[in-house]
Amino acid sequence: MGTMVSIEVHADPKADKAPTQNQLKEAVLASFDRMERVSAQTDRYEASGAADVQKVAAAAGTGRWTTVGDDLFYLTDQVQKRGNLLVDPTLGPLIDVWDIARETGTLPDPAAVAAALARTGMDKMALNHEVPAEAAGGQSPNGGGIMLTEAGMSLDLGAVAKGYAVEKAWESLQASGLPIYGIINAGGNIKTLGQKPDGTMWKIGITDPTDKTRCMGNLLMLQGEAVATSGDYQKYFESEGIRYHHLLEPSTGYPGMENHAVLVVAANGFDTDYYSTLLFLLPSEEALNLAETLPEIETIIVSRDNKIYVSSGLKSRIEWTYQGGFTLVTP
Amino acid sequence: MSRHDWILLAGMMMAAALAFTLLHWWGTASQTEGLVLHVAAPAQTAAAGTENEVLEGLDGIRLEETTAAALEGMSMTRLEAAGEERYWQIQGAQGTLVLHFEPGRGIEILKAHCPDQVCVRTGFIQKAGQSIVCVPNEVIVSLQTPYKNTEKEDVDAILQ
Repeated sequence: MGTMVSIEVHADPKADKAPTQNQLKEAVLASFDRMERVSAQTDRYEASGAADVQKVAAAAGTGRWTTVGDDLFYLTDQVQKRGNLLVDPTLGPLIDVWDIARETGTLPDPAAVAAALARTGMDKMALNHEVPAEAAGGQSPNGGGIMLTEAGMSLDLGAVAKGYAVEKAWESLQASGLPIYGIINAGGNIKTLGQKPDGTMWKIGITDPTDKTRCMGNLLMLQGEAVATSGDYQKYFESEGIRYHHLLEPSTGYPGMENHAVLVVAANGFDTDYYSTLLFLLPSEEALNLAETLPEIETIIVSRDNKIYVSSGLKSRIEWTYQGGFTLVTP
Repeated sequence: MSRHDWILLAGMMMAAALAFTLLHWWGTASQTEGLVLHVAAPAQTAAAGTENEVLEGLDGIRLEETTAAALEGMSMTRLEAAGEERYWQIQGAQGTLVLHFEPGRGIEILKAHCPDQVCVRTGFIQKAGQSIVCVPNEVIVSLQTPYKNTEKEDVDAILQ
């Protein structure tokens, strides 16, 4: 997944029949395998070139459908259905331009950004549940066909794949039926499983976006809850004192400059990843207002001008330990 | 083994040697309640991030220039394991590997996509300075100083 994933599981001491260590091991390995399945469909950096997203890119502009697996089809379908243009799964060409910029530490040529931008757009991505017969060679019961209408287009599911993969790993652990509790941590995406034996809430350290080695505070989480962060400190390079990070604004082709970090809590890992990207690209107050209208999510927004906004449902669930140069805004 | 493999193996040895030297600077260490391990794996080009992030994983340790050259194209990640049994999945050159920490036993590579399974057969390592190498996957797991409790200790996870 381009990231290190950690899974920690424990046998519930209160369970009548404690699982054996081998059962725990099997459950964790099955869960990793499930994530690997997501990765095999969505990882556009896959060295073999065999990932479904890479096949879709290879067929872009040819007018042919590419049959993809259930995970990739679900992700593109969900993002398209939700329809917010800030989360765009077709930013591949643009991300390539910024990947090179980050590797070389130099700003991309505006013409290159514009050229890449012209090859993006959800309106140029077609999905088909009924995979056309001639393309239906692959075995994929819940998959479908994807077509990118212009040559040079490519998909990038970076905004949602990791949160979704964490969700699927969690479902896999749940499906084991074992009395266990634990935590899945994929860096910027976390989901809790079950309840700790002492009955306390899960405690998650929140990284200070201006100093990655410090935590600003702890977030208290319920069982089965997920959290994700989109931050300008996760992948970036600096040029003339400006931080150019990986969260691109689909209409301009440049990194979004409204916020330092946006954390989103929800029951579902896909939602946390999707909304943390979306809210990150909005002006802080607008992002907070939008979050307040969505019952399924709660958020913490750290704006570029160093203000921290917290949605109403989360206020009592944060223990601040250190706020650096930030100001907590209480509406 | 191809010539490339030998160069890689030499690089890994140098990295292991360096890790060992660092331990001497810090004094010898034995396993206590937890472990700090460094995992070197192939940097996945753009997906792995910048060189800054690569070096940051070393937590303040400066790489000697020669070792940095040997590790070119690899990313280093620092992991801490204490008290709790835990598993990590990491990306190697030929597929994923699963690391497993078990209190009292140490760290092992539980599963790996590689033809010879040498890394899996190595079993648990538990003393600072020991390492497990998977040549086909270009991965080195080396144990560092014992884990020391920090203020982060009372949280269940860190959201990065």
